[in-house]
Amino acid sequence: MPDCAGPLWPCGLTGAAACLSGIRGMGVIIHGSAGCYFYPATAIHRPLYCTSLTDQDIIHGTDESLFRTIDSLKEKYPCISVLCTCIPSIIGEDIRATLEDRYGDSARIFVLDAPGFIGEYETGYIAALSCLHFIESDSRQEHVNIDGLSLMDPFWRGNLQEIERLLRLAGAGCGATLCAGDISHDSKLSPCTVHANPDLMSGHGKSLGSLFGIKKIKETIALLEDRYSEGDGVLSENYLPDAEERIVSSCDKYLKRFDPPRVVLSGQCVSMEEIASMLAEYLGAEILGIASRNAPVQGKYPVELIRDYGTMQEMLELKCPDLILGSSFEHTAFPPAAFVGITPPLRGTVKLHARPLAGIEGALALMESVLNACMDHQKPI
Amino acid sequence: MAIPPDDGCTLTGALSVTTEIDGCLTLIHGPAGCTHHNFSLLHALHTARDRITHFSLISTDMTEQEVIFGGEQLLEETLRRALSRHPELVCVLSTCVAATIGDDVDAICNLPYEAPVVHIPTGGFLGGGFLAGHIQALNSLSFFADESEKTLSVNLVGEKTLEYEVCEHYQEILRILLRIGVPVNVRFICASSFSDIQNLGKASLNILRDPSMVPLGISLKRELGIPFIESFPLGLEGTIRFMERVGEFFSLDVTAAVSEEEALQKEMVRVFSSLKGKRITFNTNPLTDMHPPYGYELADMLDLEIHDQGNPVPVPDPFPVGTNGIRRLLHRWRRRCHA
Repeated sequence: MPDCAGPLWPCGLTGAAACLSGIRGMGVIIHGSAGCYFYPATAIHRPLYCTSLTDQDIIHGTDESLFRTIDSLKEKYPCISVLCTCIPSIIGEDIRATLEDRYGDSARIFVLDAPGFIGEYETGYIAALSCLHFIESDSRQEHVNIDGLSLMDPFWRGNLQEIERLLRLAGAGCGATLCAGDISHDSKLSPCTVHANPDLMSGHGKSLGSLFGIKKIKETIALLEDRYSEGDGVLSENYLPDAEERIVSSCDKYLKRFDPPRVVLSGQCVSMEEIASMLAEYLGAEILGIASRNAPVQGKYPVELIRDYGTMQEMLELKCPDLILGSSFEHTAFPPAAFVGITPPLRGTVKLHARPLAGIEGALALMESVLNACMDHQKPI
Repeated sequence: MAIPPDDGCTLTGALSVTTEIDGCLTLIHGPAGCTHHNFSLLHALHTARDRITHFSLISTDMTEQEVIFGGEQLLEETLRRALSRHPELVCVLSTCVAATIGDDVDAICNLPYEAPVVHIPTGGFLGGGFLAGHIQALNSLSFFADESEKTLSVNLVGEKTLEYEVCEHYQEILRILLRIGVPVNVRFICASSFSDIQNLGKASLNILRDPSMVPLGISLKRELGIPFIESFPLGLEGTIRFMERVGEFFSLDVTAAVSEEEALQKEMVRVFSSLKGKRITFNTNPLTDMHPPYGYELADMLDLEIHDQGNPVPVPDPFPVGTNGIRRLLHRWRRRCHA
């Protein structure tokens, strides 16, 4: 069994909290200790609530703490979700039945078992999404859902704005936004969906493809225009060729002076694969490897599951990249390389504006960051 | 209460100590999520303070399997693998999951190993909050201190290592102590080593970070015979009184040092004279500090009017250390008052 030295990725509880706290009007209660509360609360930046269980609750039962917390929130929120952490899950109370007895139809309450030991971030996120029972509506044929939005993702606001823009330009309306932005627990889904994050696909609606990475953007935009814009393909005829030309020209200029970078990418597997493709295609980058935070999917580039800081550091020291795309963990673990932050956490930097990683502007922003980081890195000190 | 008080997990409290020991490996017996929460928080704080030091934190990565069948075997295996990295010290921290399923962590830690292994019984929320974990870790580690001959020096006990400005607080108390001629023996524990901990007993006086550390102060007095002062210097008058108390303890003449400090304080008040007559109100945590005494002292010194409709100014808890801590705080007050 490998060591788990400095786990890099959050547990299922954080994934569930990130998903549900993106739903408008949803009061999210972490049913557990204050210790389980603090990390999601600091990472998600939305109001979260906690039953703050103590040893007394373990002895006498946790229902009173839960009732107290729900009672203080049920006038404020039309809908409440209760995320059961490790301890309520271990002691085996029937929370659903208890809440049904107490509140019946007087409060809309979702209960989700989200103990940290059951899995990681993506597992918790998808489990939370599935407990919401969204309904598809035929009246929303001209709209397209956007999924893969998570408050844990530092790029979610930028991704949402960019994909809304692309949908408008493709002639479609913006459907449900899973799970951030203007979605509520009773929002109706449109029949089709595009993905802001190919590692967090909801399974809701017919997939029209991902908007992450130029290659996938081209394919998805072609489908969108075909379906919604009746031959007026402003995106595929103007915006995409223009963006691609700007990337090609900037990369070409870079390559006049410098060798292509040798790159390690660290983050969610499918997203990293898409970014690696862009770097290889436009910048001639050598992809040394992808360190995947979630279950790896074998693709064009070497990929391995790396869940802990110790293994990550060993991998970086072995491969010795010129450029790392990842989180501030990787930046700290291997300071000699140029760095572009694309994976949470991104500590030690101020982030105020809505920067995208998905869509055309996301691809441009990414390539801009990569070229600037590589050039800054090679300037004489 | 729906939003927990600003405390946190016992585990985080203990980790704020063990991750400050150079050469120490901390092993957390519980699900990887518990370790990730803390690893990420500590990483954030270190990055914010431009520290690139690495701390060793290993999780036993407990899964549903151990929750059902028990996790002692997993703990022992992980501990033996951790020891193969040759740490100077291993601190084993238990989580609420380990405590709830009843793993005998003590028994595993008491087996013979090639390096010291100490169990810090944190038990997540079953062991109390952040402060309980902080004190528990310091208490457990104090047993490594050797009996020593006392020297003219002090230990700094219970620094809040997760504070954003912990280094600045340390620099300020160091400045004040050196001004009166008293060196620091050991920071117990902040940026320390295992041998520092062993030398803890050499100091003649412990200076606690704040009164919340008094239970530890009492324990160290009993075990190592070191008396304590219950807080770092806080406030203008408090800083002067602190210097006099330490001087008195060591029978040192601190008259000149006190005069210099008073002159520094007078000059600081002059620099912030543009605040005179401004209306302020204290932006405090109503649960912890209804009547901020140091805030009133500053308002009085600078001739400020305290008024419900005044500019809200921060009065942090804990209050910044020494004269220079107050200077930095007054910059923030001045910004709020647009003075």
